[in-house]
Amino acid sequence: MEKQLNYYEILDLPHQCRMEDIEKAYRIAKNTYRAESPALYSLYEDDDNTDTLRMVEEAYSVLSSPDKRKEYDRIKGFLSETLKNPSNSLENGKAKEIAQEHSKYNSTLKVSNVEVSSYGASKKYALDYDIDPEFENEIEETEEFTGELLKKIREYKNVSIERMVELTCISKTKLKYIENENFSELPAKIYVRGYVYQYAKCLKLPTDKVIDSYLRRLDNES
Amino acid sequence: MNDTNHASQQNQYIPRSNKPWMNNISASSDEPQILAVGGGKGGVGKSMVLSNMAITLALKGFKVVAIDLDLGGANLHTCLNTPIPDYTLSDLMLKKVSHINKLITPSPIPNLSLICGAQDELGMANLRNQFKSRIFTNLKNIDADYVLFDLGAGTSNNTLDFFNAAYKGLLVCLPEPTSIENTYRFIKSALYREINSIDGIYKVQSHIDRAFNSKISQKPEPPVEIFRKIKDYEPKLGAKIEAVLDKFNPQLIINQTRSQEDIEIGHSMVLVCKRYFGIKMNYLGHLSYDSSVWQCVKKRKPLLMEFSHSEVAKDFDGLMQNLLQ
Repeated sequence: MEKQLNYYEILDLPHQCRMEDIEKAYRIAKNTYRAESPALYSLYEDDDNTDTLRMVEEAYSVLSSPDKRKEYDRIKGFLSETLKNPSNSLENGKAKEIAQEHSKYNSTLKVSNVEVSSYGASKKYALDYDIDPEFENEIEETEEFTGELLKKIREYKNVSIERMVELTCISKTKLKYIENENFSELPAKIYVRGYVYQYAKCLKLPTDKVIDSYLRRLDNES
Repeated sequence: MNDTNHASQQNQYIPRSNKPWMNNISASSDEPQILAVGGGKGGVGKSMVLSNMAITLALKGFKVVAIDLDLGGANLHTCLNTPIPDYTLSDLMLKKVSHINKLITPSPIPNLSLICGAQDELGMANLRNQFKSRIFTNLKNIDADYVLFDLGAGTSNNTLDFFNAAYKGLLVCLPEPTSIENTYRFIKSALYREINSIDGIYKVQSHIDRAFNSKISQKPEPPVEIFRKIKDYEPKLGAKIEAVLDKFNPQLIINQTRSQEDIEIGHSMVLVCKRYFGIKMNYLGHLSYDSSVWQCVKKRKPLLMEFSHSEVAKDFDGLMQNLLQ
């Protein structure tokens, strides 16, 4: 699969970029990889972009914070002037603490790039809810993911519709159409497929199964 | 040369290809700078952009020759309100005239003249290398600061070769999926042709073909991935490919924008091209949708002369500044 791009590559920025460049690049990248983005047409499919969007968010969250960015640059070896002697600007105790943190990072890095990169993502896409074994079982076994069931799962997993908008980059109206199975209001099937994919992914559901059953319902309806 | 600014641009002139028939173009300050305007699709405004570009440069005092290379369907003379010239490129091909300078027809605008593509020779659309080479030899001697190529729609080898031979290749694209798709296809084809002209590329031909010819439904790897793999086991070829990618910098124009969203598409396409092809496209600017443009075409008057205070004329000004900086 695609090589893991570093945060600068994902936003197409040089290592020595200013804060305003990062803001601008982030805005462009977010707009580029959103659902239905025309600039991706014929090169990338909607499915590919959930991961890219996640990377964009992650890249921005690190690069936009001066501390995290310094840290990241150091780990990746993009050393800048200010970083050459961290103890100068920091108290000894704090420096030590950071040094320990660094070695932790470094060992993770050696194992795999992916682990470092999933650091930001897992936080953003983490779900926080009380597990109900009975309902988990029901989700596990069901073959029919109706809009109603999707909504129920979303509520069960403590994800508000606003949070869903944030996670999926799909508008609130469209999310509601999906949950209410308002098929006539939804755009062409290929887009619905993308929406449902992202919906399922964010709720950590089996994407193929959800897409298949949901699109089958859509086909039967129309 | 007309001014120092222009002279310094001339020094940056580097031929973009190592194809033998282009060897005739060498870096020299008294040769014209070639700009090509293309784009995959018909009706996106190539000739409109080119004729207004030509007028702007001519009004700035540069000597400009616009060449209609839409060899099957030339109509640049209509855009520039010039009568159909006596001689066209087909006369040069058939050796009815000996020098390209004889084809130059003055336009109503001072400093701006025109060379017309073939009017009726259907065979012109499939030029032989020998003739292409002759056109380029002749171009070297043309008396101009700027030579502008108006390329036809589509991705024929001729079109791609003229595009790749230019100092700067401009792509005109509309903010709609069909045009975006064709723009990517054009970039893909032009890059494919450029990479295929690398010495020794046959060693990795199957990978190159895979990089450029697979269909999206087959979940293809982006070309940039395949180039990276080539570099791993053929470092020399990989470096040559990288050099081609570095020099391949199409200039993007989004035409007929109606919203901020449309304008943003250009930035997104630059990002996508970097990630997919590994090339650095430059977003030259956008041109707002303006129905007066259509009136201009109907009246056979160049836009900038008729509506110099319109929004789109201002857009055009910004675009030219980006181009000439």
